[in-house]
Amino acid sequence: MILKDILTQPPVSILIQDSCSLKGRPLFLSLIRHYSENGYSIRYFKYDSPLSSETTEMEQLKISWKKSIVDGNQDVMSVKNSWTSEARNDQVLVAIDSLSPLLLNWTVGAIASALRNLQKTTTVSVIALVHGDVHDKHTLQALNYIFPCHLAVRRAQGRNLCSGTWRKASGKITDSDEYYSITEKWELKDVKEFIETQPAVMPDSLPKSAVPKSTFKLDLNAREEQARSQVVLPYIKKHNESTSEPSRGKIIYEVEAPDWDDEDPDDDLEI
Amino acid sequence: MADTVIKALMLDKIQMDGKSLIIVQHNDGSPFLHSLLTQSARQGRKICLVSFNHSVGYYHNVGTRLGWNLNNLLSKNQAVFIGGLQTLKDSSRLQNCSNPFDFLFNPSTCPIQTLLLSIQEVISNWVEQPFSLVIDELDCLLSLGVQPNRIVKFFQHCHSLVQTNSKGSLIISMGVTPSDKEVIQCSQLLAHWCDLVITEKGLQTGKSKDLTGSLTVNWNIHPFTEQLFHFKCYDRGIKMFAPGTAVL
Repeated sequence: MILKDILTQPPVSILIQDSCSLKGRPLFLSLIRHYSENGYSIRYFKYDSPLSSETTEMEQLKISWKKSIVDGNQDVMSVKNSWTSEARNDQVLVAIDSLSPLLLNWTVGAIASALRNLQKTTTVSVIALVHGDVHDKHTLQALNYIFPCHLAVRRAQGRNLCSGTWRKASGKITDSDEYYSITEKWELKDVKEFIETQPAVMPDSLPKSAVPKSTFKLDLNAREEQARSQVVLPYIKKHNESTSEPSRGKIIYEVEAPDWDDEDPDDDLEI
Repeated sequence: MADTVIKALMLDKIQMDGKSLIIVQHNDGSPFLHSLLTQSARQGRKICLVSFNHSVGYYHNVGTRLGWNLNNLLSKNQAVFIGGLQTLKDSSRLQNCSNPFDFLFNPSTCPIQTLLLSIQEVISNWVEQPFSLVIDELDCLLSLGVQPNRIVKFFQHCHSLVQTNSKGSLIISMGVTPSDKEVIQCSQLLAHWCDLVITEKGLQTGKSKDLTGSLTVNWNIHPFTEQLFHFKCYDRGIKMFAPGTAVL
């Protein structure tokens, strides 16, 4: 299961995709908290406009963050340089919350090349959040190529569900769907595999009769059904009488009695 | 009318200080914006109202029906109205560089900067006082040629202005058309950034004489609830009820 593997292995670059129906930020923060407690230095770049409760949340996590409003007149490389200027240590994790404002100002190709450049020139890992309902599929697919691990969160059966795909360095691709929950202390818990169950077709749910509901009595009681089953239709009766043996296609010729005429047929001739 | 809406949004129990609210209008969500304006006026909050396609008289007339007087508040400096219609009408102000709507005539690398500075100037006079910054139909900026990234940046600046003053609240309304991708993109992104998201839609099954539409109330902060209501608009009020309950 991907979520459990993420928590037990060294950090990799992760993209968390969320929507308005389920926010990915709690999972994002829980992963950051986990890596922070394991000795990694977190460089948190906040490009989203924060909710009123986020200041308190960041204080609880004891993570310093750098808030900035993306300026479209700025070059994307300056944004990338701001990430790398903080990432001089191998034990650094760059957290980007989120990529959506960056994608509004620059093309997905420019963002992708900046991220690729960051991953190639340094050994840092990047955890980024992106709002899937803001961007089109092409943009999201392009981001998936950059991040080896992609987590998409959504609601399923009243619980938080994470659909993950992980392209490991060996080339193996694993994917899994897992339920998860986040505690008040930003701990990831209750990670269980999600098994999709087909809704069972209950025989009682099938209609017993095709007769439409009406105020008129259209259906039959048991006695009437029995009487109807005993009725023999006229054409079926005649057909059964006429075909006592199975027909095999033979020709029946009944010899008629000879009809000899005693008169001379040439009698009327005056020969 | 306002009391019913405020109770449904739980704003009678949750203070809006330091918070942001967005009304996503698929049909006509203006009754809800007016309800929030009424509540702000009744609570004695300063109001900075930014409008792109309505005059001050429109808001005054609607407010009068709901029990508050906008002109009275304007005269007492309890409210400030920044309207774009008058600017378009009065052509002699085209050369005025301090006009909040100069982006309509002078395209620059940083449009709507003057508008933002005008709002900032108004709010700076209300330090430590509760106020509501209300921006009606923010999607009009897209129709006026402003790029989505500029609108998002404008929202972020307004949001930071409100959060800097812990007693301020930001109320934004956006009209959404399903075929307009830029508006949908902007509204979805802003919905991620607002504490309370109110989505107003018409009925899926068509029109009804008993119902005007449906309202989804989504809290992105505590209490983290998502509620669905049906509502019926009248001349002087809105009735709101749970889905399926009959209107008496």
